[in-house]
Amino acid sequence: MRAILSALVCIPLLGLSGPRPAPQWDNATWLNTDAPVRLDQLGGRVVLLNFWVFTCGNCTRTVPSLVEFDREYRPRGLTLIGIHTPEFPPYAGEHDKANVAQALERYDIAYPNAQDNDRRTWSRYGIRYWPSFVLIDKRGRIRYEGVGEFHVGDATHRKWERRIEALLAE
Amino acid sequence: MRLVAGSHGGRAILAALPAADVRINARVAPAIELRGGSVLRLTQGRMTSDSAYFAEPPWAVRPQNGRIRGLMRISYCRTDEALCRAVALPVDLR
Repeated sequence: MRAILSALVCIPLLGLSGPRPAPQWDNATWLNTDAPVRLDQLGGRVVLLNFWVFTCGNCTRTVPSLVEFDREYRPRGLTLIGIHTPEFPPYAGEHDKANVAQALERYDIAYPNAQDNDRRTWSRYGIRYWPSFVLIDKRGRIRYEGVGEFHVGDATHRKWERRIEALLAE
Repeated sequence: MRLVAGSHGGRAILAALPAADVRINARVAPAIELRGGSVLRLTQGRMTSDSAYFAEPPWAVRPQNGRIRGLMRISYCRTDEALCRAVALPVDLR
């Protein structure tokens, strides 16, 4: 009896429940897009979320990889979205739209970015570090998550590339 | 990480001392949110060549000789990780 109970308890821990649905976001302020982008409008596309802030060197050093992903995979069905999440209160300037816009221009970022000044999307996704990444499949399910800086051509860049290609092929 | 009092060029200062193997983010300098509502930014100190981190403990001139109480915010990166974390630490310095 004890063995059966143990097995039942373990089933959810083995991840048999499958990928979980990605939480909807409802950020009101966006850059690089005419209208807010919603997850439920992106069915059939693979979505890569990048939680970042322009004051984080690890984040800005990763941007060239993301710009390359956007250039390479957007026509094939990837939507890359930056979720700009401040580290400090407003006095530090990370909340200012003009400062975010300046950073997008400086780093040649053309994909949509949401300002997550109240950290609501950050919290819904359970994010803790800058930069963080969430890869969502065509059915709106979270398939991969990761953290930390990477660069064009390095092992982590190639790992994300393989993941994106695998989800685009599904 | 902790806040310490010291002197620099004959002036009383406050500095944020990082823990071992930690680099303090210089692009968003540490801040002390003082009781009473004012904010003291620790913006002084040599930076790394890419100006991403402080190469020495960041500091600011001490605004008063009295007690320093409030919340110190620091963005930092451990040298064995490639990511940023943010912390808010209570400070009380006499």
